[in-house]
Parts: sequence; structure tokens; C-alpha cells
Amino acid sequence: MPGFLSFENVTKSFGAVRAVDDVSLDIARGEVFSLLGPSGCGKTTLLRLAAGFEMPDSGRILLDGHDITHLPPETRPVNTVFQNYALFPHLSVADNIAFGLRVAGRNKKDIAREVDAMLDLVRLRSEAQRKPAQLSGGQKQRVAIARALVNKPQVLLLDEPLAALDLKLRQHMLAELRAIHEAAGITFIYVTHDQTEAMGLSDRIAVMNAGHIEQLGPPAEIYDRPRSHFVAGFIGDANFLQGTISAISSRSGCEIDVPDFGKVFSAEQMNLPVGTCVEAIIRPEAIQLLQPSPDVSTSTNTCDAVIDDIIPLGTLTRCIVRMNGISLTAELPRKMLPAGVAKGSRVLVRLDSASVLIMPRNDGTPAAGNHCLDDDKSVVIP
Amino acid sequence: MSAAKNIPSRRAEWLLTLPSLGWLAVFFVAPALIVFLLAFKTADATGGVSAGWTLDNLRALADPQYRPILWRTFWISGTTTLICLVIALPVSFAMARAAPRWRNFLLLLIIIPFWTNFLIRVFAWKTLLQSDGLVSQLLDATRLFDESPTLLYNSGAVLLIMVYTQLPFAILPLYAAAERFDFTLMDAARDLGASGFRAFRSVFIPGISRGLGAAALIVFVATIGMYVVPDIVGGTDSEMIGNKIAQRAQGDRNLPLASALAAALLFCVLLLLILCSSAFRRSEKLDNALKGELQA
Amino acid sequence: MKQLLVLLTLFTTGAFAADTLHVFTWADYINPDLVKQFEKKHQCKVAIDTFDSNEAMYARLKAGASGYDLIFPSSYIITLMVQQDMLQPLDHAQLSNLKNVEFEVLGKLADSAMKHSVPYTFGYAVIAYRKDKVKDIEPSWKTFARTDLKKRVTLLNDMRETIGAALKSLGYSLNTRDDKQLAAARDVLIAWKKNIAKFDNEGYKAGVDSGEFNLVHGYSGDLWQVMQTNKKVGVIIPNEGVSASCDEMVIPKGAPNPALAHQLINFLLDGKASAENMQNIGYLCPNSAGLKLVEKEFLNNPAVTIPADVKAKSEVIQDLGDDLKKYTKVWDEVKAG
Repeated sequence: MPGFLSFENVTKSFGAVRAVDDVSLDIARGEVFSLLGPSGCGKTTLLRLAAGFEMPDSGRILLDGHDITHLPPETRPVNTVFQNYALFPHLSVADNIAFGLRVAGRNKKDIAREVDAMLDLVRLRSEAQRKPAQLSGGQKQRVAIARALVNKPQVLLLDEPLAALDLKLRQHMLAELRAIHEAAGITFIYVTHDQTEAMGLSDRIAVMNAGHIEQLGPPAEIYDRPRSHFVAGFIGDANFLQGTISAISSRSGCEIDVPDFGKVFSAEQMNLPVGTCVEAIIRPEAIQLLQPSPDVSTSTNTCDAVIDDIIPLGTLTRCIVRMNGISLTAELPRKMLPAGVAKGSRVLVRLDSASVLIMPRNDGTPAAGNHCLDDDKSVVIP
Repeated sequence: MSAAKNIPSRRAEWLLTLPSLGWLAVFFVAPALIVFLLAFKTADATGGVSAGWTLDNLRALADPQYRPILWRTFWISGTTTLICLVIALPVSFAMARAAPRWRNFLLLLIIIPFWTNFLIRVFAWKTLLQSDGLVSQLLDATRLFDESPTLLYNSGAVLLIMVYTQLPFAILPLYAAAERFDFTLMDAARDLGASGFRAFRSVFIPGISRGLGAAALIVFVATIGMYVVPDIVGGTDSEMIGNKIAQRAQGDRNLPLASALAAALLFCVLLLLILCSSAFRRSEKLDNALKGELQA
Repeated sequence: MKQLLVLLTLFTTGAFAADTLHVFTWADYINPDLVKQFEKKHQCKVAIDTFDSNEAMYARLKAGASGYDLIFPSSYIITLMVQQDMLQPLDHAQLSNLKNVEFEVLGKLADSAMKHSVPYTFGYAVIAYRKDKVKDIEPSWKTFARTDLKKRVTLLNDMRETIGAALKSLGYSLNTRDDKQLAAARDVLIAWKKNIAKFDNEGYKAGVDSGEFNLVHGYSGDLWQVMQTNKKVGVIIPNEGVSASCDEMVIPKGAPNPALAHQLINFLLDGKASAENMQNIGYLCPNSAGLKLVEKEFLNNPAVTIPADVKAKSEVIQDLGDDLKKYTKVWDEVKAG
């Protein structure tokens, strides 16, 4: 599918810092596309480049086939919802929404009609004459969206629009955004550092790090098949186990030797030679805890462990388990816990081989001696 | 307990404020009162003040001879204020957007002239503008004029030097307001289709309206009573109310009439201050009310 | 500096040492050599404080400044000071040199018997011009009606002097109380005003020296001083007559050291001292003994000695009491017109 909004080799630096580093990206018409990453990863700069607030040092930006790289913001058929809403404090809700139409020189009747339609869409008709200072955070958010949408942009840019709201309101607004997208049917580009927002809203997500895109794909793919340590760590929680490939089966997967744990089998097909230093990634929910019993063989993917800590999270319970020199974080429904476990209990850890992901470590060269083990043996990024 | 603590601290506050209040009373309130009182006295031919009271001086203010002077005073002060604001607006905008290092440097540039005495700066302008001065020589060099025009001794010169002397007083409050302005609002306006100028006009200017009011008030009040500038660089058509007061007090030996003029000026300025501060308080009250409503 | 002196004067009032004589006068108005001679002769110190207008001096005394022994005001304000009982009668027994005062000058003064005041200098308000810029100049006040001087012209910012010049140009007395004559003078001034840059008391000296102004209305002594260093500046004496002003020496009531004040008056009236004084300050001293000793060249200067026929038409500005209001009205109309 050709891109509706395309970035072609776009680079933007601020002083010595490359905020956006040779990014190419195609966004389809009508999709909700998220730019996800930690602060400073370049996602907001990419958004500001799309809006026209910044000009790229090199590369092109195309919208529906037209080069918009150097167009000033006011001439782009693109509107933005700002992080802190940026509502005009001296104008009422209705006047804020009407701003773009007035600037465009539309006639009064049209303006009134379209502002009314927007007020209905965001359910703020009774607040029309209020000033922004009189609104709650969620209301301000809706005004900001209405103010942008009333101009019928081809692309709506949303810059961390929910960051200033509390959790409950955030979830509610996420649902509203989905509904508004459905009603408006235009392309949304959504910048956030919050993976749950991105996952809950997007058709596709680009995970950004240090000015470039680490991985791009639908939310499930990014979660289930992270292609880098960074993505795995940033999207959801993950346990990392360092090991060396000890056996490869072309049909069923490969086996890695993880010191302090034993053999770990992954169903993933990896085209890597035996002896490669790799990292096994295990989501907390892919770890089972079992009652230690002689019936269960302590073979592949299992290991004896001691419970270090139990943290109830509500529906799930988080357990920190330690085996020899490494520790893992597991999250499982309370009733799946072995009966009577407590801090210090002995348990058997079992990894779901279908959920163990393997990726090469460092540059992926075969390990010489024990060099793979020099680093921390396990890293948990909550 | 807090009440018991408050009483001595409030007394201490009063004691601490007393010296400055006293200073204000002795050097501002008392002279102002004397001026107001003298306005109701009669002058004698010897330049003294006689014992009786009269309203004649106030009635004399209605004399049509003051109308052109009053009109000129308001015209020059108003135009000075307007020009100062028109220049100070983009300057304060640029300063607020400049990198912090530059910002302090620019601020310094605006403050430096204050290190030189006001009169010396006015005389420096006179030296620049006089017939054999630098500006005239430059104009001669352009050969646009047969003979370089007279730059001094007219209302234009008064206006120019008033603007020069008052500009910092317009820039500083506007800069203070611009520094607090949220510039993402400008991005928002551009994003919604406004040109740079439209965003400046429709978003920046309303956003710093209080600073704008303060700057206008300061410049207008400072220029409306101006005596020195029209006296030094003004000509026969630049007499302002301050010059008339000086003439009444010194040349005409009529202190009560001078006082009546001064009192009228003082009254205008006070009225303006009261109007502005009540407008300011109203807008602040509105803000507080809004906040209260939001919290409720 | 001047302000500092005023402050010092105000704060030290009453605490003056007995052997110090306090003089209140115009700037550069006594030959400093003479002051030194006097101090030596009488074993005293002379402290000089200055004022720049009669009105300012008068206002300061009215406001209660005291401690001055000798003051040099113009004659018209002396009339007022006498009325206000601010001056001591002079003791003629201590003033042996009074005989040197020119009889002719005394005839023009209100206090011709020298009861309270002794004439010190005699000057005129005249016209100075740039010889290199103003051609075909006529010795007349009507020069101010010339439109070819490109507004590089000043008139004194002093209503009595400037209305006086207009009255003289019409052949009227500059002390007139006649409303019609004053109205005519007003119309003349409104016409002149179109040709002038400004009404000015302070800048004309430097202005005519630098060439910024081509024609200025000013005081003879000041203009004499400019002529001494700048040969391009000339003086004309309007043949319709000029205003003459006489600055006189007076002793205020309450002077701490009236005896020494009498001594200084007498010292300055001495013929030799008077001649030395004139050639330093540029003003003519109406002192017959001094005038005999002074250099011919000085006396021939038009800024010092005006032609006899003009002198005959000249007048001294007098205090007009309540009728000053008529002048104020004309002045207001001129300024507004």
C-alpha cells in the first residue's frame, strides 16, 4: 500500500543531537498510527516535522503524493492536538473551535453550524461560552480535539494528548478517541510514551529509540515478536536470560544453555549457528510456578527456585523467583499459584517454550569461552 | 495559636513599613496636598499667595487658551505611547523567544541608557540633531535636500526623543509579560491556519494584554507631565502642559494658577490609575472566580 | 554643584562665620581678581552663590532663605522687594564712592536716590547675528519678520523682554499698560513666531557661536563675550530703542554682615576696580570714574555702548504690579497662536 503520509530519509538535528536520524515511514490513509518511545527518542520531533513546526535537515515529507517538506504549518491540511491542549485562554470554547474557520475567512453561518456540530461531537454544547480556565482536563482535551477536527484536516496529529489526565479519565478518553476516529475517518498520528495507550488505540505502532524506528508493526506483533532488546523491554515487561545456542532443530526450534537455569527450549526458528550468544526473552505471564514434586521431571525449561517476593496486583499476582544466580519475574492469576506458597517457599519454574523468544546478543558472533556471561545474568525491565 | 502569632507579626510588619510610608507621606502626599490646597488660593501681584480662598483658578482652567495645549499634550503623549508600544511589542516578542544568553544581553542593552543621566541623554540627541550635527551631515551627504531640513525645535523632535526616553519603560513590562506567555499557543494558531502576523495579533497580543496595559499606562503617565523634553528640543509649536505650569510658577509669579494646572494634571493621572487598577482587579477577580468554580 | 551650594546654604543658615561675606549673584558676574583683592584687604572670605533668574532669587528669599549679605537683582524686582520690605536702607556715610555712579543712569531708575540700591551694571537686550549667513541686515527689530533666515532664529523666552521688543518695533513704550498697544504687539509677535526656532534663554549663546542659529535675541554682556572669541558674530542695536536693564546691589533685611556688605559695595564703586570689572564681565558699569579708565576699544564695542539716539529711546523694564496680567495674557496668546 503506498503511503498517504510518507517520510523519506528524514533527518533533523538540534545542535549535536540527531533527534530524527534518517527515518523513512509510510502511513496509510485512515489508519491510527502511533509513535511510541521514551522521552527524547524523536517521536515528538517527527510529529512537529509533519505539522511544519520544524523543517528537516534532509529528506522529504509527502502527503497524498504532494511534497509538503517546506510548507509552513498554516498551509498544511494537517492539524495538531497539543500535549497541554494549548487552548487560547482569552477565547471561549466556541471561539477556540471557531478559530481555524475564522482565519480561513469562512462566513458566519457556516462557522456557527460547524462549531455546533463539533460541540455535539465532543459533547460540550453546554460549555460553549465558557473560558478554558473553567473546564476540567477532559473537557479541555475534547475542545482541543474539536478545534483541530473542525478544520477537516487530512491528518490529525496528537502529541501525548492524554499525558495530563489521570488514569480513569485516560481510559475513558481513549475510548472517546476511538469513537471520534471512527466518526471522522481520517488519519491519526498519535505520539505517546505510554504503551497501553498505543496498544489500545493503534492500527500500527512505530517504536522509536534514539532518533530511529526500532520496530514497526501492529500492536500484537510488536508485543509478541519484539525484534530488539529495546522493544521487548519497552513494550510490556520482560525477563531476559543470557545463554548460548547448544542445539538446533530445523523443525521445532532451538535449545539454549542458560547458566544457573539449565536448558531452555524455544519454539522460535532461528537461523543461527550453535555457540551464538543469545538472549532469551520471557514475558512474565509465560512463566508457570508449580509445586515442587518428584513427579515433575526437572528437565528442559524447568528449574528449582525460591520465592523472593510476592506482590498482589489485583487479578494478577507478581512473584519474584530466584534460582542460583538469576531471578525472574512472573505474573499469574492468583488461583494458578501453587497452594500455600509464601516468601521463601520452594517452587518449580516452568517456561512456556512457545513464548520464549530468542534474539542474538551484541553483534551475534559465536561466543568464545564464557564471554556471553560477563554481563548481568538476568535483567528484568518492569 | 496562629492568631496569637499573627498580631505581633502584623505589628512588626507595620513597624517595618512605617519608614517607607513616612517617606511617602513627607515627600509625595504632603507636596501633592500642598499643590491641591494652593490651587484654591489667590495670587497677589508680588508672587505671593494671599490669605483668601477662591475657585477662580479652577474656573480659569476652562479658559479656551488651554485647549490647544491640552490637545497637544494628549496628542504627543498618546502618540508617544502608541509608537512605544508598536516598537516594544515585536522587541519583547523577539527577546522572549531569544536564547537565554542573548536574552540577558538584550536586557542589559535596554537598561544601559539608565546609567546616563536623563538630561545628558536629551542633550546628546540635541547634539546629534542640530544643524551641524551628525544626522544633518548624513542627510547632506545623501544630497536629497538642497539644504538639510531643520530637525530640532518641532513636535517631531519632541516625539522622537520622548519615544527614545520612554521606550525602555514600554519594553520592560511587555517583556515580563511575554516571558510568561505560552508560545505553544503561537504554534497552535499557526497550526490552525493563521499566518505569523495573524497569530501575533490574535493570540500573542491578547495573551500579554495586562503587560500591554501596564506599559501604556507607564509611558502615558510619564509623558503627559513632561517638561524637559519639549523645553529643550521643542520649538514654538511644542508647548505642553508641563511647560505652561513652569511658566505660571516662574515667569508669571502665579503659584496658585500653576498649582491648579498641576492639580488638574495630577487628577487626570490619578483617575487613569484608578480606572486601570480597577480594570486589573476586575480581571484578576474573574480569574480567581473561575479557579474557585473549577475547584468547587 | 549649584544645587549643592543651595543645600549647604539652607542647612548652614545662621551658622555663618562673622568674617565671611555671603554674596548672591549671577554666574561670572564679578572679576575674580577683585574678589581676591577685597578678601586680602579686609581679612575676610567672600562666598558666592548664584541664581539664574530674578524670579528664582525672589522665590528663594520668599521661601525663607536668609544669611545673604549682598544681592545683585535687576531693578524691576528691587521695586517689588522694597514694597515687600525685604531690603535694608543703605548707609550713605559708609559709601564714599557713591559719587562715581553715573547721574544719567540714575534718572532711569525707580530708586534714583539710591535709598536701597546702587547700580552695578547696565546692559541691553539686543540682537546678535552671523555675519557669514545673514546679509543686508538692518538695525531694526523688524529683522525678526524676515522669512529668509530659515527659522534659525531665537527670541528670549521672557515675556517682558520679548513683548517689549515687539512694542518697541511699533514705537510704543515697553512698559505700556495700553490694551490696544499690547494687542498690536501680540500680532507682531505671532507673525515673528513663524520665523523662529524657539523661545530660548539658555542656548542662544552657544547656538549663535556654533552657527546653529543665525539671529538671536539676547543680553549684551553675554553676546559681547561670544564676540570676543568668534569674529563671525556681530551685534546690531535696533534703532527703535531697546530694553535696558540695570542690575543693582542691595542688602537684604537680616543680613548677618551689613558692614562688610557696605565695604564691598564701596570697593566695587571704586573707579579702578570698576574698570577692571567691566573688561572682565563684558557689561558696562555706570561708573563715571571707571569709564574714564577703561580702554577705548571696549567702549566702542556696539554691545557695550549703544548709539546715543537709540539710548534716548531705550527704557528700563519696570514692575507693573497688577497690570503684569495683561502681559501674561498676551504671552499666553502668543505661545498658543
